[in-house]
Amino acid sequence: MRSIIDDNERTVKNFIGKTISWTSWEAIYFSNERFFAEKAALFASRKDEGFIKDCHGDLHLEHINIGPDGICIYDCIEFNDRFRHIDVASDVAFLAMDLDFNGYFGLGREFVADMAGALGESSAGVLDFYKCYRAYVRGKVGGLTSVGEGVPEDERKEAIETARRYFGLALRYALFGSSPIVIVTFGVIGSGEIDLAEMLARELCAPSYRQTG
Amino acid sequence: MRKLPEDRFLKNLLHGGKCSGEDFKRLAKKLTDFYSGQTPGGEVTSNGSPRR
Repeated sequence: MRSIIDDNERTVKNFIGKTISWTSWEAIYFSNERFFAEKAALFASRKDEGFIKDCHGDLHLEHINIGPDGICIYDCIEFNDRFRHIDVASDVAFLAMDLDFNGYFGLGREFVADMAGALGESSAGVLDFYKCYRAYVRGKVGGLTSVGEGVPEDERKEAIETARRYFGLALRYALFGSSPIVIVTFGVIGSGEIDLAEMLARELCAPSYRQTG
Repeated sequence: MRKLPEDRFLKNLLHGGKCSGEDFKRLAKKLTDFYSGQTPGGEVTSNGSPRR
């Protein structure tokens, strides 16, 4: 896990100023560093409790088909076992993150609750970390797509925008976890409270609202 | 090989408002059975070490 995250951070560093700001990259980097430093025992207990399984590895909305004949989950990771031999929480976090990304925050929470039996109680301490990791990887993929050879201009722009949104979501998980949050900025006229609010909204890919008077 | 119906992919179902909480409960059950049916250990656990 550690080496995969390190690789991702190195790759994404090349996209600073394009799909992710330096501030966001650094905030996520330090969040991961702190997590590894403080949660070593939790990682070990997840392993000892048997939550590392041969999972799907790429469990998102486009890999699940719910038809009249039943549910088909397909296209698991096959090119590298390390990406599939993971904590069950990492698999579940991917789908929960994808639900959040598409605006289905409530369904994401319900899905995680429904998976409690497979996740175990200790998953509460790792889920947001894995959701951040999953959003970060999707952001990385968007960045790489945007610089791919022969990618049409409209697809390139879409990939950049998608990557920005994923990194914004990753930042949200890193700073605030999965809980809904409201950030209020205020001040006297000219103190920069609106600029600050807009900057935060941009970084976090969140809506901003203005109330005067 | 059979083609999965495009309109039944979860993303399309959600965007079309055709996915129920019951569908998610069924999905959670299927995934839970999949994970719970495995005995951890060996190469899988080794590959999943946090330091790797």
